[in-house]
Amino acid sequence: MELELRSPVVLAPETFNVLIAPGRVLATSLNDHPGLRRIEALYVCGNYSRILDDLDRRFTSLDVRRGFTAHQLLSILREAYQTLIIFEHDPGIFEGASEMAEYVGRALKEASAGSAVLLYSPGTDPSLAEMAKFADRVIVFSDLPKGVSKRAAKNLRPGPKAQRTLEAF
Amino acid sequence: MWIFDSYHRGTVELWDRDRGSARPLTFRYSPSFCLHLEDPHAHWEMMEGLEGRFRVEERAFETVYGPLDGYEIWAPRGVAEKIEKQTRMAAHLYNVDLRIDQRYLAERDLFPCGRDGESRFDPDFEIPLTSMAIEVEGDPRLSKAVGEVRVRTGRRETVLRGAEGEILADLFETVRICDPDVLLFPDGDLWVPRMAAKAEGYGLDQSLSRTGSFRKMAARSYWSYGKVEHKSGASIPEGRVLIDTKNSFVYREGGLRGVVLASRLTGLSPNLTSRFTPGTLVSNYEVYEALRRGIAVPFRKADAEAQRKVGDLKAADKGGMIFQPRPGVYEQVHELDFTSFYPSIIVNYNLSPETVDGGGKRGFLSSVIEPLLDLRLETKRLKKADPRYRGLDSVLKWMLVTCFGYTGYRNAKFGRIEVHEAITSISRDLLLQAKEVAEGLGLLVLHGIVDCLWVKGGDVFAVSLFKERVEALTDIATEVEAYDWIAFLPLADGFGAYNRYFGRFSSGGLKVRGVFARRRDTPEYVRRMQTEVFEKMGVARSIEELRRVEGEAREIAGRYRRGLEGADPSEMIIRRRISRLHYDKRCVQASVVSAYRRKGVKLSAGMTAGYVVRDARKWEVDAEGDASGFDPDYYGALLEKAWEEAAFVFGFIEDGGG
Repeated sequence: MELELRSPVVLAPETFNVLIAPGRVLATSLNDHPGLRRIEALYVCGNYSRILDDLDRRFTSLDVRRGFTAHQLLSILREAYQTLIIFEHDPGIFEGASEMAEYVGRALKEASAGSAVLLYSPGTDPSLAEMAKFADRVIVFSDLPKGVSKRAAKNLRPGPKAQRTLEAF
Repeated sequence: MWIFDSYHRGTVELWDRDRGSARPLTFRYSPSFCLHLEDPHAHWEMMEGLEGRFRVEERAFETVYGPLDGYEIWAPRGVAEKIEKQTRMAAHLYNVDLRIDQRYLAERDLFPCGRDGESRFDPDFEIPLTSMAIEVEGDPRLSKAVGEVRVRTGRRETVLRGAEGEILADLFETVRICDPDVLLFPDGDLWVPRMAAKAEGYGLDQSLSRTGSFRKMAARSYWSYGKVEHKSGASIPEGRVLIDTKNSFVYREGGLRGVVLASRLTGLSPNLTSRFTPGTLVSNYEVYEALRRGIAVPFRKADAEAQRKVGDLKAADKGGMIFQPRPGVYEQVHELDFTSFYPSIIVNYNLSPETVDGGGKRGFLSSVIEPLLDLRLETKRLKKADPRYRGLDSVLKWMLVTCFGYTGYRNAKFGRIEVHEAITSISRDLLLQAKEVAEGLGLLVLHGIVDCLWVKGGDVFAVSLFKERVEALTDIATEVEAYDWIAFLPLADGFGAYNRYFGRFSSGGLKVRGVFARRRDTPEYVRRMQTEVFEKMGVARSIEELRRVEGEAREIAGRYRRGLEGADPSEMIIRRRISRLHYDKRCVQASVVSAYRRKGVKLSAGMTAGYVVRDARKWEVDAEGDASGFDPDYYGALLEKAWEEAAFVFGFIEDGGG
């Protein structure tokens, strides 16, 4: 069953999707989706999440696992069984372990064999770009927050202002 | 055997004090690592390849979570890293990144700086080492030349003067003749590599290392508790202990006995324990204990936090308990402090990565921390009668403080965030229970921070009953301090600050926290003013007496205000850590970096730099040592703020609060 987070962000089953957008886009999409509370979903993040605090209080049944190292992320992704896996990217995890982004990207792709996987980040960075190589779909909202580096913003291809959907980058 | 230095260079080399100092004992030792594969059949080709090239034995090995089936492989670390890649990080590897000399000792139940049959946890131990103190005149950060050198052995002091080459030749000759085991050398980690390089230039044979070789430790900047820290590199001599007495935290806290104690506990050479932080020491202590007990040490931190509901995460993820004080001045107050609160909770509640979810057996972490905690309780008791134990107690205190933080550190070998959360959760309950005990005895709780409570009221009997009941309830040792008066300062919004207070102990003396006099970045002139004011206030034993010293305190502040213009700029130095070297906007830190650059001094992120503000409005500063003037308005404002902290007491009394 396809999951429409917000038009036109649609997560097909068994796909690995990347969403680059301001935090409120994801938080609002999750809060406004009544169907999400009825499916098994796992939220994976690092030590600090930009999204969890903004989730609706009614969102109590969401499973959460935090990974503080890339190897912990791999363990979490290998053990994940939920229908929907949302992974909030934390570039700090890859500091000093940049080579691990490739393995985490592969693990996200492998996890999508039985789930819809969404990798979320408010901006781009080298480790996100590495993981996104394994994605089926990359969705970028051009309303990027100030934190996004100018170089990263320039690297985005031109297109409609509201949203650009690419196969991969 | 009394080992005072150890390292691995093809073989394990141990320097034994009992056998003299000419050469180390060498031992052949090929370390192995352990491998566990969840699906070994998927990797049979790789295993065949490994068996063809290295010694591989199929066997079970112990981990903190229980035994695992797998392999022991006698191959270097590079092979382990290739296995990781080959298995796409599916391999679970153990005992890969350990110090080989530490492992050699642990597996044989040996430890440095102690003899066979001795307990590592005995606070009384001998140090049969000879030492020499070396001091080079000047700041190695500002000048590269080696100037006058003072050398002290026992009571004899020699001053070496002359041309640089002559000074170095004399120094090396003195070291060669005296042949000390320990060099106590302020800024030694900066001077020694320079001396070794200069020796080559002058064609001299340096004698600082007994083998002529040094082991290198790289300089680095790193994040710790939200701050950038900088650690200088070092050239560590072989067969001799070199302690940079100015920059070694462990030496500063515990002296040579502290460095040696850390070595006995961690299985590391004193050369390393003098350079490591308490966190690294406690981490190495856990590793040494694991190896000694035959428990494999994980290479990567892969045991992730358990799955939980978002609501449970939000409820669990809290820190220590704080009861916010009402700002004011209070008389007849008692402070109850738990001794090593968090480590005691780890031990009493059997908290460990493998037991935090339940299970009856003794956990690894709690069983390892227990003897360390017992030793600390003993040194705390001993130091009251004999100040020689103060240093040991301090080193143990810091190791135990950081053992809590390490349970939540992402790369800790035996850490797990759930243990961290369980400790703080239990601590909150215990502090609440202690508060209830106090209130049950008619005491008023004024303030509480994590492991201590300030209470008011009650007589000596009630306070001693309070201590007794809290100890019985929590099974954790406590200490009580009585204050004649204490002031809790306000935040900018008027509410009480939990970490800014000062008061007079009934036994005399002041306890001062979080104010200008305590802060590391306070200019000396401002610190002197506030300290003098506090000393005057410290004479007063009651609010009534405080009222009487107000005039004199104001006079002290006035004297400093009047003297500011003519003060020595060297008393205006502000020392702050530089967190980065590039700033987009104008700010003090950017000006400091520029000032040092102009001076030709290279700063690194995390270094502490001293500066004097010349013109605050233009962000103009001078590097330490270069200042010929300062901005009187800027320093006048600092002086005023420091006075206001002390004057809060008088304002509060004046308003009738006392």
